[in-house]
Amino acid sequence: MSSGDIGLQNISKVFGNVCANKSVSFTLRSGTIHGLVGENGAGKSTSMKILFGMITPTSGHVMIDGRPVDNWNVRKAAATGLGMVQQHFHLSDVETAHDNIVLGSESALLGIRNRKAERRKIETLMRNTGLYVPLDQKTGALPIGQKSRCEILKALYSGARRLILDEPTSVLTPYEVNDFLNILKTLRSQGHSILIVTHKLGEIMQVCDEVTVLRAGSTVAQLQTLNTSVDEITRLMVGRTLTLPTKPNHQPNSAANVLEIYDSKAHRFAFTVSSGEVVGIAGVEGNGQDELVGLITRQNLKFEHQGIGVKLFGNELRECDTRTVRSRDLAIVPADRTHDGLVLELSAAENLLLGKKQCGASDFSRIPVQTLETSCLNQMREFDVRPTEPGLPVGAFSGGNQQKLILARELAGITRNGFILAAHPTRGVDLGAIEFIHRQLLDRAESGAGILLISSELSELFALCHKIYVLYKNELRGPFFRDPRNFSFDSEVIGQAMTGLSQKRAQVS
Amino acid sequence: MTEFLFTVASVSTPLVYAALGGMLSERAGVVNIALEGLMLAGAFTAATVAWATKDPWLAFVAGVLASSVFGALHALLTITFRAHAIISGLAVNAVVAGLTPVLCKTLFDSSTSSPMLENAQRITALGGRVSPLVICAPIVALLLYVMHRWSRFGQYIRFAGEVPDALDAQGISSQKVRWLAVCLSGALCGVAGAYLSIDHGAGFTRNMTAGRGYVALAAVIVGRWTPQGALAGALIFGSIEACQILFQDIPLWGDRTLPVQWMQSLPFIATLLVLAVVNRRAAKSPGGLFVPKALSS
Repeated sequence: MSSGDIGLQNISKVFGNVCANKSVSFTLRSGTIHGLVGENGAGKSTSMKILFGMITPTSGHVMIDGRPVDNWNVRKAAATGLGMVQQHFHLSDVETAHDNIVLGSESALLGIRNRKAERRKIETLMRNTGLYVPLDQKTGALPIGQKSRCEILKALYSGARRLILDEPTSVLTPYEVNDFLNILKTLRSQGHSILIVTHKLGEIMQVCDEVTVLRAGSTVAQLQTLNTSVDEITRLMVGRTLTLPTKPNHQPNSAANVLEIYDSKAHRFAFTVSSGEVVGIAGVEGNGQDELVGLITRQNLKFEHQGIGVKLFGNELRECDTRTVRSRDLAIVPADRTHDGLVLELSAAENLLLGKKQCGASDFSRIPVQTLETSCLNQMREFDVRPTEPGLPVGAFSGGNQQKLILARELAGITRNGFILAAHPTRGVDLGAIEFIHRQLLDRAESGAGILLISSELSELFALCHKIYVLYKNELRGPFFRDPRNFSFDSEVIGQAMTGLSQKRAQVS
Repeated sequence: MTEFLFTVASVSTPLVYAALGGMLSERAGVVNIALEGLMLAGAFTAATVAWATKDPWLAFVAGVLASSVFGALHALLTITFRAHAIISGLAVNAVVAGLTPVLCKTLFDSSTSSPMLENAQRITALGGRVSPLVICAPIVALLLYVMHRWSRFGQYIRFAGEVPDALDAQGISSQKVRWLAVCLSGALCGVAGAYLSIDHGAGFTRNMTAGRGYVALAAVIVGRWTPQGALAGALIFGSIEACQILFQDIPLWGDRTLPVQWMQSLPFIATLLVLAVVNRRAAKSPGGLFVPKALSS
């Protein structure tokens, strides 16, 4: 370790009886970009917070310039030029970009701010880094890419030379991601060091000089990016070789329509999902995904008021309420599993009651706990939910296992030719669980189910879908199909559609 | 006309101070329905100290301090102990409403009021007509406006109510900012209370704030949580109150007047109407009208 380097050495951290970090070590070398990767619960965020001084480690050392430091805290971290950009933006939507950027480092005389001096300093910073944002606009009106620029400017404005970025690209469109990675390269060329905490390995390979892989609270490897590959990193992260599906291996039965969305007014918002078909909806969140799900589940009728309607198995849903829709041959994996999918305080078995009347319980009868627990146990075995404890409150399961529980419940409630509405089915889920969920969905499709898959992860859509539409500002674009030569989608065209750059939807025959 | 303006100024003054206080607290993210109790605490303490020491300015300072202490209680409950702000506000109001008659009884042997204060024990009006506290009200509003827009503390308050995490991430304790804002809110309510008991009025009477704290809160909402808005809101409600006072016995038809109770309920009916209209507008234009995030969730 030489001057300018920072890092962690043999860090462990125990919260109560949970060990978040067992032995974490890595070095962020001066003037480099370093990736910190790992599955959920591998200890990424704990390590990052220890480095930034937000958490005191149980044992081990924070290393600055090659020497261990004592009593490390946020103030000391900031004083050594460390800045952190959190995954969720810490910006006030109702204040200007200017005010957000200078927060905490205002130029002030006797408490009264000198906005002109602040402005000069920000403008110099923007010129040097190429990070431009409209300073007088309220950040609430800025697109997400601009917001993340604000956050980086804020860190740089407060004097940070070393940046810790937590999942910085998770909310950006592919186009914005490229832009963002270029910014990181610019910052590196100016001597900044950057630590990116992420699970997107493609980006790691693109910009990082080095990468540290964490698994189960320990560093398993610190590698030069040049000498490694996505496959190797994945294997190190998961601890075994994954075989993620890359495309569906069957043709849909286009004669049998499962779901039909039609647009009685403008004839623009229309598509069908046929039996065995996986239809993907790409797009940055907040572009109409919730409304589309709500249209089908009858919980959000905004689209219906615009003349868009749904037919499920040929039956009009206009007169249905949510309860009636739920009684059809339909499985729903909601976007927000802890809000719409599960009751966290109740046990896994009790959460089965949120599904169909599969467990023989009518509305007013006593809850057949025994039956519930048996069927829950079976489902847990089938879907590899761990721990296999039907009586455990759902909140105690990890995100991936919660998602498997929902999937188990929902898929148990439909027939082989049913319809599956899956919104962000693998969000915040481990690679191992992603592999499992993707296989389950494809199996169902192969045996005749129609699937509408809403996701903001293009890689997920590319791996599962027969065709993809893009939602942009409540409008539908596409469909986009696989190239018959190499069976892959054109990520550039889809990425552009997601940012609104492409033409409006071409007339479909 | 001058008579009307004088009345508007004198009845608006306590509303202005209390509304500015409420604005500060709520903008920092702490709902403050304790305005009523804070004012009452200030009014009682000021009257008592004025009666005991015969020094109105000392009494004024004591009133402001007492309200700040109760403000600090509200801060302690809501910020440090994370109690629900409405419950804590109700508690403060109930404590003050209960404590004042008890103390009145022990000190003055009357559970309803303090002895009438002589003029020497009250804040003297300038030129025999206008109280210095009335003149100070718009000045304080202006100062708060400057603070809100251009000071570092103002920036911190604005962020404390929107994204407290952003402050904490910069090493600034959002809890401290909120504490300060709520205590300042108490101090401003103390000014309003002292004005009622040792300036506009001559002594403390039980429940003398008579809902002014809630009207001030309405002014904060109508004024969309800005200092200038709070001032304007307080003036609107003050004007309605002034109408009520001045036109109480004006004959409406023939020589008959509207019953006085009807006139007295006018400010409250007006408050309801104004709030209904403002909230309708808010509902119609999402994002167009501002509500601090900490309060809207």
